Amino acid sequence: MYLQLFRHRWTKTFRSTFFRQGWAIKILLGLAAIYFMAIFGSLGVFMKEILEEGFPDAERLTPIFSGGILMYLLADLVMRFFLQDLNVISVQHYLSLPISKKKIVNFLLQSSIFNFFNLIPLFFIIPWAIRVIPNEYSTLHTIIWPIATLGVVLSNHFLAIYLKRVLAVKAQIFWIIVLLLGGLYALHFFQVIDLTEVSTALFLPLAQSHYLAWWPLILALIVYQVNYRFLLGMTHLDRWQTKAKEASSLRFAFLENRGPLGMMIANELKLIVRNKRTKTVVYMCFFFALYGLIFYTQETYVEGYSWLLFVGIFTTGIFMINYGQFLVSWESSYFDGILTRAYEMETYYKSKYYLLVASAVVMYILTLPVVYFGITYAGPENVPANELILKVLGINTATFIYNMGINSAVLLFASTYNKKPIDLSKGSAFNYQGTGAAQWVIVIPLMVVPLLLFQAFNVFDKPQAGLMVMAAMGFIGLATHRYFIKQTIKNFKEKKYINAEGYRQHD
Amino acid sequence: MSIIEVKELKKVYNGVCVLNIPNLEFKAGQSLGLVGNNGAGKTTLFRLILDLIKASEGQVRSKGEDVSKNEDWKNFTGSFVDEGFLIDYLTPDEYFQFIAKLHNMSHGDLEAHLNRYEDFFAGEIRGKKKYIRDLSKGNQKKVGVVGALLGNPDILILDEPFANLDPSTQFRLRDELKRLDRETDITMLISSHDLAHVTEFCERIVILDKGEVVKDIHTNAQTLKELEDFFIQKIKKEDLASGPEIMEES
Repeated sequence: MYLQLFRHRWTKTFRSTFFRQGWAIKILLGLAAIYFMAIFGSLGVFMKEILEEGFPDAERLTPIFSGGILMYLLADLVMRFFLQDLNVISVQHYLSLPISKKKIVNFLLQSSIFNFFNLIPLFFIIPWAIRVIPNEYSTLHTIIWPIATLGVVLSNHFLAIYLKRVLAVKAQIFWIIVLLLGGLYALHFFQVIDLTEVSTALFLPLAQSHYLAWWPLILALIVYQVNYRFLLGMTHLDRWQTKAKEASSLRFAFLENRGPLGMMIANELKLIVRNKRTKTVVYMCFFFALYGLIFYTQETYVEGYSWLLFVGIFTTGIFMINYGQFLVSWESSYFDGILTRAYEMETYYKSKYYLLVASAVVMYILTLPVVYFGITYAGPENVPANELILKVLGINTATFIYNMGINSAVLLFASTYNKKPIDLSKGSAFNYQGTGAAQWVIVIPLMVVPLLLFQAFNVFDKPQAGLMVMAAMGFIGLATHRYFIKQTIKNFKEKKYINAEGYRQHD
Repeated sequence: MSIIEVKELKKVYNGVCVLNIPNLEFKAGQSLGLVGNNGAGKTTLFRLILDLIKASEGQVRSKGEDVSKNEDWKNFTGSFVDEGFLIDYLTPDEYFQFIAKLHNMSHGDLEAHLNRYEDFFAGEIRGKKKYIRDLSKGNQKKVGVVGALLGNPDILILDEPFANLDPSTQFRLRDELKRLDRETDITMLISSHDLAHVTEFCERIVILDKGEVVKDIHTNAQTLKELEDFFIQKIKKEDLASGPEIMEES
C-alpha cells in the first residue's frame, strides 16, 4: 500500500508538465542542473582546501566548518520557504479512499524528503566526512558525523514545510518569521551575539561527542511529530480552503470610459495586476530597471558602446521582452471568446501596441535616475561622470525610441505565432509554460538586429550616426504602426484556427 | 427563410471523420435542440458554426455569408460553449460592461437588460467583489449565458446550458428560453443531454450520432418518448454488437 503511494508520487513527477516540455527547454534545464551540481560538488570536495587557505593558522578545520552551518541553515530556510513546493493538495484524492489518514500524512511527510534542497547538503557533508573528519577526530565519527548532520538538514527541512503550512492557514506568521530572522541577523551584524560562535557550539559536538551527536536526529523526530500532528488535524479539506481574494477595486476607470479601445487596454492592465504570473513580470521590470548599475559602474563596460547599447535595449524594453513575447498567449484561457465576440481586431491589436509603447516610456523614465545617480555616485573613477551620463542618456534615448517603434511592432507580429496556453494563476519563477521555439527566435530581431545595425556605423567610428539611425527607424516605425497592425491582423486571421487549437490544450 | 445553412460540412481529425452533414438548415425564429451522446459531434458543429475550427470540407452560411470569410455574424450571434468564453480575471459586472461596450450598448440599456435576470442570478452574481474565476461552475455558466444574450442577438448558441445548474436555475433558464422563443424572433441552437428540457421548448430536435444527423423531428407530444426510445435502442444495439458474454452478464 505504502509502496503504491510512493509509486504514484514517482509517476506524478514524470508525468508533470515539466517533463512534457519541448526538448530544447529540457536540455537547457538539464544543463543548468548539471552546472549547479558541478559547482556544489566541487565546492564540497574542495571545501577543505578552501578553508585551509582562508584559515592557515587553524589547527583543526571542523570547528570552522561547524561555525558556518547555522548561517547556511538560515539561508536554506529562506530558500526553501520561497522555492520549495508544498504538495498538500496532491493527497486530496486519497482522502476518500480506504487508506488510513495516518498513513496518508506519513506518506505526505516522508515523500517530501526527496527534494533538491536535501540533495545539495550531501555534496558538502559526504566529502567532508571522508576527507577531514577521520584526520581530526575519531574514525567512528566518519559515520556518526554525517548521520548527525543529515539530522540537522532534515530538521530544517521539516521546520520549513511546517512554517509554510502554518502560513497557508495563518498569513500573519510570515511577518513574525521575517522579524525573527531579521532580528537575529541584526544582532549578529551589530555584534551583540556571534552566530558563528553559536553555530560552533551547537554543531562541533557532532564530531566530538558520542552522545551529544544524537541531538539533531532527536530534533528531526520532534519536528516531524509536530508536522504530523498538525497535518492530522488538518485532513479535512475545508481547513485548507483559503478564502478567494476579494476583487480588486482598481478598475482603470479613466480608460474604461474611453470606448472599446480604452476598455481593452483597461482589461489588459487588469489581466496584469490580477494574475500571479503577470504580476511577477512587473516586479521583474522594477528589478531590471536597476540592471544598468552593473555596467555603468565598471570601466570595461562603459568604454565602448556595445555593452551600453545592449543594456539600453534591455532595460527600456524589459517589459516588452518579458510580457510582449507572450501577447495573446496570456489570453489563451478565453481565446474562443475573443474569436466569437464582436472584437474589432484593429482595436484589439492597437490596445496591445499602445500598452507596449507606454511600457517603454515608463521604463525609460525609471532608468533616468538610475543612470544619473548610479554614475554620479558609483561611476568608474577614471571616467568623467558628466560625459558618461550624457553618453548613456544618448544611448538609452535611441534604444528607447527603437523599442517603441520597431520592437513593439515585431512583438505584435510575432504574437500571431504563439500557440501555447499559459495558466495565469501559476507564479513565474521556474515557470516555462508557454515557452516555445518562437521565444528563442524572437531574441534575434529584438536584440541582435539593432546591435548589428549599430555596429555597421560603429566600425567606421561613427557611433553617433548609428544612434541617430536607430532613433530614426524608431520614429518611422511609430509613424507607420497602422501598417504593422494591418499585417499582424492578416497573419492573425490565417493562424487563428491553429492557435485556438493550441490554446485549448490546457493541462 | 433559413438563417443558418450547413452545406456539405465535414470535419476530419487525423483521418477520422467526426462530423459529416450534407445539408442542414435552421429557420429564422426557430428554436432547435441538438441531442446526442458524448462524441456525437455537437460541440464540433457549434464550433464550426462559430468559426472556431476550420471545416475540412463545405461551409456554414450565416444570413447568407460564409462564416469563415465574413465576420458580420459576430454582431448578431450570441454564444456560450464553455468557460473558454469568459474573461476569468474580471468580475461579472466588468465582464458584462465590456461585452456591452463591444455591442455599443449604453449603460442604461445594459442595466435594463441585466435587471431582467435578477432572479436567474439569485443574487450571487452582480455587485459581488468576486472574479469570475472564483465563481462556482454553475455561476460561471449563468454569467456566460447572460453574456451571450447581451446585444440582443438574432442567433443564440448554447452548449449544454443546463449542465452544472441547480434545479431552480434550470427551470428559470428553461422559462427564459421559452419566453425568448415566444416573444422575440431569436433563433436558438441549444445542445443538451437533458431530453425533457429540450423537448419542452424546442420546436425542432436534431439527433447527432457519430457525426451524422440521424433524426430530425418537429416536436410534438410523442417526441420525448421517441427520443428516449432512440437512445434505449442504441444501447441494445451496442450490447448485441459487443457479443454474447456481455448479454449474459446483463
